[in-house]
Amino acid sequence: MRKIKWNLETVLFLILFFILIILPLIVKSPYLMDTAITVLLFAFLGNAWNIVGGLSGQASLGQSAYYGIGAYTSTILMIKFGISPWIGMLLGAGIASCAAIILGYPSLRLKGPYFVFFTIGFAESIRVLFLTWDWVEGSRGIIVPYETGLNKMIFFGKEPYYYIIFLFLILGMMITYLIRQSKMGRYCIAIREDDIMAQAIGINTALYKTYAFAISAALMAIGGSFYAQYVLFIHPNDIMSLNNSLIFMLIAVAGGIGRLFGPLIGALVIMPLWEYFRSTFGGRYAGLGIVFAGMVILLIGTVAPYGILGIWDVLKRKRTKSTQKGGQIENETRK
Amino acid sequence: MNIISQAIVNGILLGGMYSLIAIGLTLIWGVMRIINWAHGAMVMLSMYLAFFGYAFFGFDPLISLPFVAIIMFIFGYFLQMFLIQRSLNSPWISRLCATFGLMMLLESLALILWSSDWKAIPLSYGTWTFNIGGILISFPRFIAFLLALLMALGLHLFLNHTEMGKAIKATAQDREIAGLMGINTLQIYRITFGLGLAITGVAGASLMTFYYVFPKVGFPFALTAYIVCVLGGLGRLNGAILGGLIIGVAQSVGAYLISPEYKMVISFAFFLAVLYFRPGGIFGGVTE
Amino acid sequence: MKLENNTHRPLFEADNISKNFGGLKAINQVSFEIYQKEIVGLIGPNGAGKTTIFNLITGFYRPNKGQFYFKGKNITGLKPYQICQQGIGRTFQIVRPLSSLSVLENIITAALLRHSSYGEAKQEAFKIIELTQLESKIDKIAGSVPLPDKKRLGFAQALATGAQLLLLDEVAAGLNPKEIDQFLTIIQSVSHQGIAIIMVEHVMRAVMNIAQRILVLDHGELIAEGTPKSIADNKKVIKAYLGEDYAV
Repeated sequence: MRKIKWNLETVLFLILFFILIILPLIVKSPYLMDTAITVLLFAFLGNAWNIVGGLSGQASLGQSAYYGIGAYTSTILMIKFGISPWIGMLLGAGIASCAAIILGYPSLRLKGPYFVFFTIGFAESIRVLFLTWDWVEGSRGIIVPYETGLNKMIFFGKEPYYYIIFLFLILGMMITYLIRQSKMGRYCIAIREDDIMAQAIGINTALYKTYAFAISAALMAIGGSFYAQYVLFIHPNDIMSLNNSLIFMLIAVAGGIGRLFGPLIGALVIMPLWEYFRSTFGGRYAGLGIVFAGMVILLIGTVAPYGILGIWDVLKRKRTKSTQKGGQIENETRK
Repeated sequence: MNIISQAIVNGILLGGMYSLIAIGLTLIWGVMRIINWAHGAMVMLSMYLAFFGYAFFGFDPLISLPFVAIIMFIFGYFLQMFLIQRSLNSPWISRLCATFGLMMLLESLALILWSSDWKAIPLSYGTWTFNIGGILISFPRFIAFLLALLMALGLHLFLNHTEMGKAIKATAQDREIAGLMGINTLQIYRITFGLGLAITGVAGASLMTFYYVFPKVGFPFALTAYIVCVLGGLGRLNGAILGGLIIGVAQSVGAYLISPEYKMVISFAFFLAVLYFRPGGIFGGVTE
Repeated sequence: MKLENNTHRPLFEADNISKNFGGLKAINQVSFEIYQKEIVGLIGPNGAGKTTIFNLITGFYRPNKGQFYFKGKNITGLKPYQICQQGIGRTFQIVRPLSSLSVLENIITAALLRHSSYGEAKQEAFKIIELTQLESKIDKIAGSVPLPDKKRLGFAQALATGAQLLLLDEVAAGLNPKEIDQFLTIIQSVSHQGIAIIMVEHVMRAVMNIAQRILVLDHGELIAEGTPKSIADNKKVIKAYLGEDYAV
């Protein structure tokens, strides 16, 4: 572990974590708790997206397929075989990883828009598959029976859900952090920067991309299982939609692509507004949330490619420049 | 056997529409190396424009067509100038974000403004069909198909026999050298984007003669258009045309043989096959 | 399998390499050997196929005919990352730094091939930085440093992978004479450490002074091979370059 630098950023993050930890004790409104859980869930999913998108530079818009696979695996196992979703979740992660490795294989040689098409295509295909598959109830969706219990991961209040997803988020971010510090992380970054150069310095790009796909898919699946146990209803059009994949990307990119805290920041900024629009307006005005999301993505695409953290960095640099100048003058007078 | 022939003919007519939509997309890619993910949303927009041409002025969509095309051209021109241009100078993720953001914005705005109700234009000739050797051909679809061919021909002539068109081709081949030759590449980009959207305008207006519009109508068209472009070779106009016809037929026959829901899966299977066996597409397009 | 020469086994061998692109014969029956500690120049007019040879050796293209041997082992058909792992490093004609990373991080990433821990890779990177005189640039963002530094960075990265054979693709292009001389000094010190080097060059000043042997490629064929002096007088070589501007 590296030494932690004590500065404004560290302090801010500590405050943030503190607030997040005690949040359920302060907040009592179920609506706000719901928003908080959504924020953490999407921060978790955005973090999972970041492993392929931000770290490795593979902009996948098919991650919702793995989200769905996770949700369906744990739910089916629970409903049809009585297996606890805690275990089902891990199995879902395993299946999603395998799917990612298999599906990832044809995509390894694809670049740029071809890769993006491919991810959209396979996610859509999987969605259609689940939609027409009777055994998983297809287009009827699955309602998870409401029976509370720790082993069923279904609870009466929202607090347990909050802490579970908070824990998952911390674990997810730790995994991301460890990857970045490791050889795999540096290799993935090299692949992002220049795939051909990466090969020329001895990196087996296919292997490392596959690792990234597999890990990201596993995390996505875990998020999906959580979602299923929280919302208690799953449907292919709901979970495995392109819209979802776009939101995962949006969260990570809004915060700052490739940055460790990017998804958390992104989720904090975007999800509350999103939730507000979604629950306040119905019918045709449900689109307001997406209008907002679309505008944010547009802004990122045009003026703020490095997201909120990117803007923060720019501001920091401007501040450092002025303090540096001040420091210089000080040194000179001391002489 | 007759049913298959019917499916094939339907597929060809459908394919013409796909080709038209794909042409705009492949043109933009060929010149600017950017995939307009909002392309489907543009088709949707054009369709609404044609619909309002009818709702407010009583215009047949084919009459609205030139107006829609011009409006879309202007829209595209300024969109490029103020938005898309910025993303071209930014890191890789920007291009994705800019046009995806645009797509989300347009679709959700459409939902708010015009609700998710399907809107269609009742036309006197809307249900006319003529019978050739036992195969029914829908009149409006046929007209739309002819328009698509005309458009493709027109574009071909434009690109190869006018100053502007040749300048566009030059920029597509090599941006730097085109610039050195005195071509204002920024202007070319704006015109190209405008042209690409104008073509979707034609497609959208044509579609309103036999189809219906709703906010998300563009999405499946867009996905198919991408696949058509890849199949034909990104940047290749004749590829887009041929690819459109092939996909149209494949979808139509496949929908009959397997199931309509699998349309997208079929197209996707084609996409994979192309990428594997002939990554440059049928005509060997620009892969980088 | 090639018969082994008892006297002095070549480090690297190209045996009858041919490569077609569609109907075009890009490389036609090219054979040559490289020995340890050698600096070999690969010259020829534009389009002769020099970079193609590099791409063939490093696995980015696959030869239609012929084999490559490195340290006695047949490396034909191996993927680029495997070629690097075998010990052949390269630079690119158009530099390819890992732009968002610092110069130091760029080299560390390359060093990770032979030194799995970050700490060891960093140590190795500093050795390479000293060798390539990049000390003053280590914290700069690779995408923003001037071209001569980018070229030296590419060279340092290839070195950091522990290469025993370096393929340098036009390292002198775009550099002024002073920068070229600086680079040549570095190349020579690297060569003294036992690393073999093949240099593709257009800038004659760069290669004629430093190379012990020159290979001349024209239209995909090896038309001459010898010491720099004999090549400079070679009629075939002069003819191949006729009408071509080259910097001496």
